Amino acid sequence: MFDQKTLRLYNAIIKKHSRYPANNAKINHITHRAVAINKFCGDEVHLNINYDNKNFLINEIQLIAEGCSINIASASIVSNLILGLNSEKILYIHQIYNKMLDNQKLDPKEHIVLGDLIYFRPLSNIKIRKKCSQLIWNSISNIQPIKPI
Amino acid sequence: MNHNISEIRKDFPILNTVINNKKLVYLDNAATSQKPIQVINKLNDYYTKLNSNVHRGVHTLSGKATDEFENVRLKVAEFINVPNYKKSNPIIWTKNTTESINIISMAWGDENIKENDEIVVSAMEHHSNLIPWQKLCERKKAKLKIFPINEFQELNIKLLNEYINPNTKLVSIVHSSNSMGTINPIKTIINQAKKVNAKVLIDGAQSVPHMPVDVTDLDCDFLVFSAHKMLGPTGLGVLYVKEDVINTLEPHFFGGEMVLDVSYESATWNDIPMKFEAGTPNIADVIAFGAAIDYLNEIGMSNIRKHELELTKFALHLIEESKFLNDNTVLYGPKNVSNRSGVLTFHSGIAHPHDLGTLLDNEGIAVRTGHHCTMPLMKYLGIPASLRASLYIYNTEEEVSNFIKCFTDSLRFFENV
Ligand SMILES: Cc1ncc(COP(=O)(O)O)c(C=O)c1O
Repeated sequence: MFDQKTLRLYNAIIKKHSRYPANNAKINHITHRAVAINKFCGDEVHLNINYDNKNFLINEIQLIAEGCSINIASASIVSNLILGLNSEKILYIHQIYNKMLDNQKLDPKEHIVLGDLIYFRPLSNIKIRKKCSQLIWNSISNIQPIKPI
Repeated sequence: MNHNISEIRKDFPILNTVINNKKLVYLDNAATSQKPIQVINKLNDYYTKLNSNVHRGVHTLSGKATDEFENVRLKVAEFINVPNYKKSNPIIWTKNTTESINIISMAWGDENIKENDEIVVSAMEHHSNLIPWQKLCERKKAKLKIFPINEFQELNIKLLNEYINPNTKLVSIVHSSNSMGTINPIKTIINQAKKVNAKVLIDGAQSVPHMPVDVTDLDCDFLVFSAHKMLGPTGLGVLYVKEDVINTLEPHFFGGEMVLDVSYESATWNDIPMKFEAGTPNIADVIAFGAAIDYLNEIGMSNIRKHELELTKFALHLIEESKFLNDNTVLYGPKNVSNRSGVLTFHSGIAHPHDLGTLLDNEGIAVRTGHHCTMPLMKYLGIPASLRASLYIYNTEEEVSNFIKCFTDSLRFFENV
């Protein structure tokens, strides 16, 4: 019954990530944490991170996301993408992602960088739901070292 | 006017709007109602033929605008059956329900509430009938009591004597809940408040637009509501204050219009209700609101209630047939349909309300998703948000079944991963 526009956004990949988000297992050596909450809709993203201080990259990540499926799926996909990356590369992915949501053309290299995030392309035409996919990025910009106990 | 719904619909131009290639099904009436052409034309007429300031000057236009403006005040007083309104009219124009409540919390509250006094609100209040009282209690070291609700989101009326007791100075309660569809037994509450000498404010934002509300019969001290939820323009609210209370109220805003005599040192106040309206009022919207009241009167508030009740029964029947309700997908509100308004609020563990709302929007169906400005209630129910469909006079059985079908299909869509 639903038209193509809806089905393109709620495609199998996004539905799968929202139902079975990645990186939900506990991790052992948490060095950093991040939280982002959207008070208006109640969506939440919590990250527990093991950060490799020598190589400046994310070693392990545990994701706890709640709320709408766009938030959960976006958090799940991003949590996979940023594993093993340094902050510069992570920021680059976010830049390309925003470029896609702005309906700008991406070159093939940029396509590859986005991985499964490419499935959020239909969001570029659904303005009010774009921010649902940004909560994970807000949390990433808030990553803080936890104080040693 | 013909009371046939298809005739009524012709008066609402926006209902012909196409959203995502589908005809708009507008089910967000609790947020704001649509406006009939009569109201839209009245606004246009005012600005094209009548525009001038009221209560000032001797020129013809100002006189005409003043007459129309004051005439609507009389209409509103008659609409809610204010006693003796022709002698002294206690209808005060405000910006909206929220401002009406804030004014009372300051103009009445600051004068009458003392340390350890108790103010009672219910667990289902809109933020606008909660936060002004939180702030008043903070200022006065008074206590805010939250009247509890039962598992069907009805007031737990067994606790009436416990909550409304001799320490209670004010009960401020919603007549019809915007988020649960519960119609509260306000008559019982007002009677109990009278017994202990407490004042009562009725938040009529969701009741005055949908059913007959009679302040002579209710005998409440304050009634507040918004024009925009009852076919009228945005930016206009009503504050009714009972005669013996309004006579004790001091003005809260100062400036032009509200004064009688002014010197460099001091001023005296104009008569009721003008002394509560400082500055140029919302003339255009008041005059257009008159057309909304005429429209509602023409159909009759009892007929409106009847139509919404029938549509609600029809919806409940379809919901039962669709069999989607279970432990995971619930419909809130009273089981007894006569205690329900035309508000249907759902929560489902299968899909977040925003996802369901996006799917419905794709079918042209406008519903509200979120916390409906009742965050404490959502926390109490243990849900972050819900999905609300709310009905009005122009909604049809066809639209209701369209909504229930799309809602059912949306749940199925998200169930299958
Ligand atoms: C029960 C109730 N009270 C108060 C309000 C506030 O109305 P307004 O936003 O017009 O001030 C609303 C509006 O949503 C409401 O539904």
